Amino acid sequence: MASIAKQSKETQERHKKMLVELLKRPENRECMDCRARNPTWASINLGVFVCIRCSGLHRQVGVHITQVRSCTMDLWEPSQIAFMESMGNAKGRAIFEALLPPDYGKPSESEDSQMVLQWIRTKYEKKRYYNASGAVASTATKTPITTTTTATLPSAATSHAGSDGSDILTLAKARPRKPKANKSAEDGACSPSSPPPDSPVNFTFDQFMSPAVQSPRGDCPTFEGVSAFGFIQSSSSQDGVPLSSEATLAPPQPCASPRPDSTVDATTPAAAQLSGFAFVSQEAVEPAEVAPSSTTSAFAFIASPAAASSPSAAERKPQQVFDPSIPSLMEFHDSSVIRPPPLIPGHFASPVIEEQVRGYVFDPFHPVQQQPSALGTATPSSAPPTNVAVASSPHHVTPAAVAVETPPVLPAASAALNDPQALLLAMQRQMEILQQQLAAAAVGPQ
Amino acid sequence: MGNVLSWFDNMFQKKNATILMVGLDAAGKTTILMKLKLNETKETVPTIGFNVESVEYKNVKFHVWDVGGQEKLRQLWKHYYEGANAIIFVIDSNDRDRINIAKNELDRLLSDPMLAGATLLVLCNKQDLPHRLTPHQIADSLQLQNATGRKWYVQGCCAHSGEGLFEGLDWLCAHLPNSS
Repeated sequence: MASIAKQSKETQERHKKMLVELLKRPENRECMDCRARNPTWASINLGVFVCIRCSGLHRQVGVHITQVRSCTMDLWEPSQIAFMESMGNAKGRAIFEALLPPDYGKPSESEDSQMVLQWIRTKYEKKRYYNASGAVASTATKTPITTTTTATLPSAATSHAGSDGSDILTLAKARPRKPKANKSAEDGACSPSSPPPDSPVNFTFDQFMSPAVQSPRGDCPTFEGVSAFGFIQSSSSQDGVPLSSEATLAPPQPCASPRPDSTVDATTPAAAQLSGFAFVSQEAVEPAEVAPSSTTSAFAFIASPAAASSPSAAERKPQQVFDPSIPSLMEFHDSSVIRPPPLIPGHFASPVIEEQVRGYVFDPFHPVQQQPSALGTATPSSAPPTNVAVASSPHHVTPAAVAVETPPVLPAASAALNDPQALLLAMQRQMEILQQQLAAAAVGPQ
Repeated sequence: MGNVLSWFDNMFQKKNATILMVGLDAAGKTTILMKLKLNETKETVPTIGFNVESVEYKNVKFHVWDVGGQEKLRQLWKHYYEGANAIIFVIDSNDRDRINIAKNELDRLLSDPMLAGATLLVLCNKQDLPHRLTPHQIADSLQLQNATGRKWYVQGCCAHSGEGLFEGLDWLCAHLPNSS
C-alpha cells in the first residue's frame, strides 16, 4: 500500500488516463445505481462506476461490502484498474441484477436517497438479484439469507404477524412496488414509511442487523439495545400505571416525551433516543423550573417533567418515583452493582494521573475489556466507591442524595445497556448541569 | 470543596478551541460533524474540500474543521494545521486493510512541528459494524505508545447512534492545551 504513495507522477498520469478511458465507455457513462450521467467514482471491489451521491451511499454500507474510490482524487494501483477494466457497469448489471424482474422500477437520479440506499443494500449486501454463474447458484445464495433473516429477526417476524415464509414473501413483494409508489406520490415524504405499521422495525433492522446476518457473531450492539429498551419500556409501563392515571389528569404538554408512560410510544430505539435528547433540550429551556423546586429531585425531573407544570401531581409524583419498589429505577442500580463503572473521562482530569499516563484507550462497546485500564487508572477518583455504596443501598436514597450521587451511576448503566447509551448520556449530561447548579447554590451562601 | 469551586469556575469560563478533524476517506468525519452539530444522521457525499462548524459543548466552543480524506486531498491537510488546538483523527474501524495507511497519515500529521502542542483524539468510528477492530487493536496498530509528549486518547464510537462521541469531547474539554 505504501507503494501507492511512491507512485511517480508519470504512473499517476498514466493511471488517470486509463480510468478516463474506462469512464468513456458507453456502459460506464451512467451511474450503476441511479443512472446519473458521467459517474466519476467507483467501487473497487464490486467493479462498478457510480455517481458522487451513490458513492456516499456506498460508503454508508461499509467497506466489507463496497469500497469506494474517486477516479480523480484517489491514487490507484494497476491491479485495481485492471479489475475495473474487466468488470464495468455492464458486467456488474449482469451479475448483480441478474435475477431482477424485467418490470422492476429501478431508482432514477431524482429518486430519494433513502430509496437508492435501500436498493444498493438489496443489490450488493443482501445480493437479492445476484447471479454470478447460473440459476442453481442463485437459489443457493438466496436460501441462507432467508433463513438467517427470519432467525435473527424474531420481533420483525412477529410484527408481520405471519410465518417465516410469508414474512419473506411480503418483503419480497414490497420491494419492487416501492419505487413505483414513490413515483406516483413524488413527494419523497413517503420514502421510508411506505409500509406503515412495521416500517420502523424494518428500517432499523435493515440498517443494523444485516451485517450481523452475514457474520456469525450476531452480538450486534443495536440488537441488544432494542431488547434492553423493550425491557425498560415494559417495566416502566407496568409500574407506571398509577403514574399514567395521574398523567392523564395533567395538561398535555407539547414536548412531554420524557414522561415514563410516554416511553411506551418510543417503540423504536431511534425514537427512544430522540426522547432521550429531549431531556436535554427541555432542561435547557426551563432551568428556572428546576432550581426553585429543590424538593423535586433530578430523577423526578427526568422521569416526569410534567410534574413541574401540573401542581396537583407535583407533590405526589416525586415520592412515587422514588419508591424503591419500582423496578425501573432498581434496574439501573442493579446493573451498576454487577458491572464496575467504566472510565469517566470527566473524573480523569486530576493532574496526578495525567502526568503518569499520557494516553488512554476507551472502548464503550466492550465493557469487560475496558475495565482493567479504566479501573486501573481511575481508582484515585472518589466517584466509583460512592457510586457502589449508593447502588447497594437504594432504599436509603433520598432525593437529594440521588441528585448528587447519580452521575457516576449512569455511565455504569450505560455500559450495561449498549445501545441506549445515548439516552443515558443525555441523562448524565443533565445530571452534570444539575450538579453545577447545586454547586452554585452551595457556594452562593458562603 | 475544591471540586465545587472548580465547577463554579468552569461555569463562567468559555473556552474556544480550534479542532482539525482528519482521517482517511469514508471514515465518517462529516457524519460525525453533522451528528455533533445537528444531532442528525444524514447521508453524506464525499467531502471535496472541507466543512467547518462551531459546536458548543460544556464550556468550550469547538470550531471543527472537517477536511476531505481522499488521497489527493490529504496533501491539503497541512494548510489547516495552523492554530489547531487539537486533532480528531477519525478511523473506519471496519476497514482493516487500510489501517496501515491511516497509521502513515497519522505519523505524517504528528511529525509536523505546527501540531506539536495539539492534543490527539482518535475516534474509532463504525464500531457497530461486524468486522470492526476494537479501539485497543487500533491503538496498537497506530503505535500510539510512541507518541511521547503528547496527550492522546482513543475512543470507540458510532457516528450513526452518537455513541462515544461525547465521551471523546469530554476528554477533549479536559485536556485542551492551556493556550486556547
